[in-house]
Amino acid sequence: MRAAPAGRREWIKAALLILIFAALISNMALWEALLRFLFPGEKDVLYPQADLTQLVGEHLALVLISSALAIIVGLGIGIFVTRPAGKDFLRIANDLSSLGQTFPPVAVLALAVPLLGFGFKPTVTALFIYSVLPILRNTIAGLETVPQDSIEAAYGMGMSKSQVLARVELPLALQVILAGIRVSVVVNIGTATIGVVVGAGGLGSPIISGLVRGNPAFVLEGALAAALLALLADFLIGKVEHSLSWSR
Amino acid sequence: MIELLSVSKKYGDAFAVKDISMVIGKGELCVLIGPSGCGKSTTLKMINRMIEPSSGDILIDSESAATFRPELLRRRIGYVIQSVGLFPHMTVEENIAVVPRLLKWERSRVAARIAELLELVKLDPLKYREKYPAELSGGEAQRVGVARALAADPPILLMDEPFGAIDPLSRERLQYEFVKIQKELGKTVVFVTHDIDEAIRIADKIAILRAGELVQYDTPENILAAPANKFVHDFVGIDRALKRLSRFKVGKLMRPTTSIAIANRLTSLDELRKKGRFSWVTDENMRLQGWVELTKIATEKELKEALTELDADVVSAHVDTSLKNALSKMLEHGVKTLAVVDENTRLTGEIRMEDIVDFTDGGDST
Repeated sequence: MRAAPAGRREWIKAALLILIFAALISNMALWEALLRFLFPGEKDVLYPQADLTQLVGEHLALVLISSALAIIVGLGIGIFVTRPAGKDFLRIANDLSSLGQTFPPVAVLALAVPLLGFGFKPTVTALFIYSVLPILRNTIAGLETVPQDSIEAAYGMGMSKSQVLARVELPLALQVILAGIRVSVVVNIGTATIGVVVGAGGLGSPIISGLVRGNPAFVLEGALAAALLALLADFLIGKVEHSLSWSR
Repeated sequence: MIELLSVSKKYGDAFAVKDISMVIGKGELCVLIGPSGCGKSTTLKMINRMIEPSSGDILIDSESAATFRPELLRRRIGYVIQSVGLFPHMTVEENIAVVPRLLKWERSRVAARIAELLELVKLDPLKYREKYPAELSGGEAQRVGVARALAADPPILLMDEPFGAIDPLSRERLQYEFVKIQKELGKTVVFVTHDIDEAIRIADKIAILRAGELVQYDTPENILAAPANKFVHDFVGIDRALKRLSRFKVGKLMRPTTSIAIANRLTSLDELRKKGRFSWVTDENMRLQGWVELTKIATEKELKEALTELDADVVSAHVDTSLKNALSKMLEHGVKTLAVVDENTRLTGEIRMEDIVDFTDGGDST
């Protein structure tokens, strides 16, 4: 795989964007000025219980843990069901991953609470279950689109099963798999805002608080920060996707 | 050397390959041919154990293929498939380097080998090394496919319709170049095709399969001369006599001949007349100029007038011209004899239609 000539500049750009995001999030004075300008009638325009840095930190913890688990499990199951040993489960996995998308995340959360109680764990579980599905679906799709003759040639040249997987199948499926991960993580950042209803904190806190108190400034504070975080994640994973792809 | 000993492959109750026994000698190019579903690809794939035989054994240099781990066996056997199967995410050099890397060759050795192989298959290393398969034409891709199969210098190559998807012109050139490489390197090749012309062009031996059974296994010349049964007879085509002629060279039937040098005195004219009515005419360096009817000349002056000039590049044959092409030239120019010349158009002999006809008759009766 060749690195694009402009590769280094791209990574500097990515690092710069992370810094800008961090600077925006930690500058509460700026947020106050913006929200006061938009909502001059409100007494308080900033969510009082926690500042954005803390909320983003909580939010990231939810997203990173659930997404990491989802990537490991989604890839693992996707690889397993496309092997000869697991092909009996391919249809179930396919059906589940399509069906799961029709299931609202709040419902997953509602089901997780009676089992796991309130707080961080049920939220991570619900988010994990929800994010694993697009990754699983794209892993299967990606592996199934690998040209059959490439696989035959690989075996014919004397690669073992694991070498065929690592050197031929996964590299060829990577773009599709990464696209699945990107969608999953971005959706996960949005979905994680509902974690607050079971006490997991995060950027959902100002949103729910704002809804309850009728304060649109709080709602916007949380929503805007979550949107920025989602855009940043989308951009960064897109960069990884681009740098690892072989087709130009 | 590859030996197939009563090899069969069954799917359920149906035989894909039934009790095939054959020996493919070292350095031979053996073509497996037959209609679709005759078991030719299955037979090929049992040699490198992409398909496991149901019964029988395959010996490679007297060792049973079944005793090797399939991966290790396959690294010693080059494999080329019709769709080429180049890895689209790897450059040309990375594709060629696959087996050397599996065998853990040193980096410098791999790099040197890549350059050597690209030269061998007539692709400029500087231009092609870094290209991706998507940037190659069908013919170029298959050249890389052949280079990749040869990468670790395996003694055996298995090729499954390698030139099937290539346009006829490039295909013929590839066939020609491939046979040259094969002979130079002394590789044992098993080659699957459904194209009888391809088989006749390249094969040392042809194995004709039908419904999983080996019908005839012999040299192309013998198969064309004496098809084992009606199936083979029909399979090789009604022009098998011509096809057979394509396997032989003019040198085989060439006769010595006489000629008159255009500047010479006609002292031996009477001698020449005894041998025939016509004579080739050459210049003082034996370069072919044309022919004369001997009865029409008596003097040196008449020789020049009676000369029928010939363009030696067009109306003549070389010793390595195929008999089929020589015959075709005779028909094209309406003559029964062609002069045989060397690369400098110097007369070396002649080839006669009657000899070709006799040769064909003789071949058919054996």
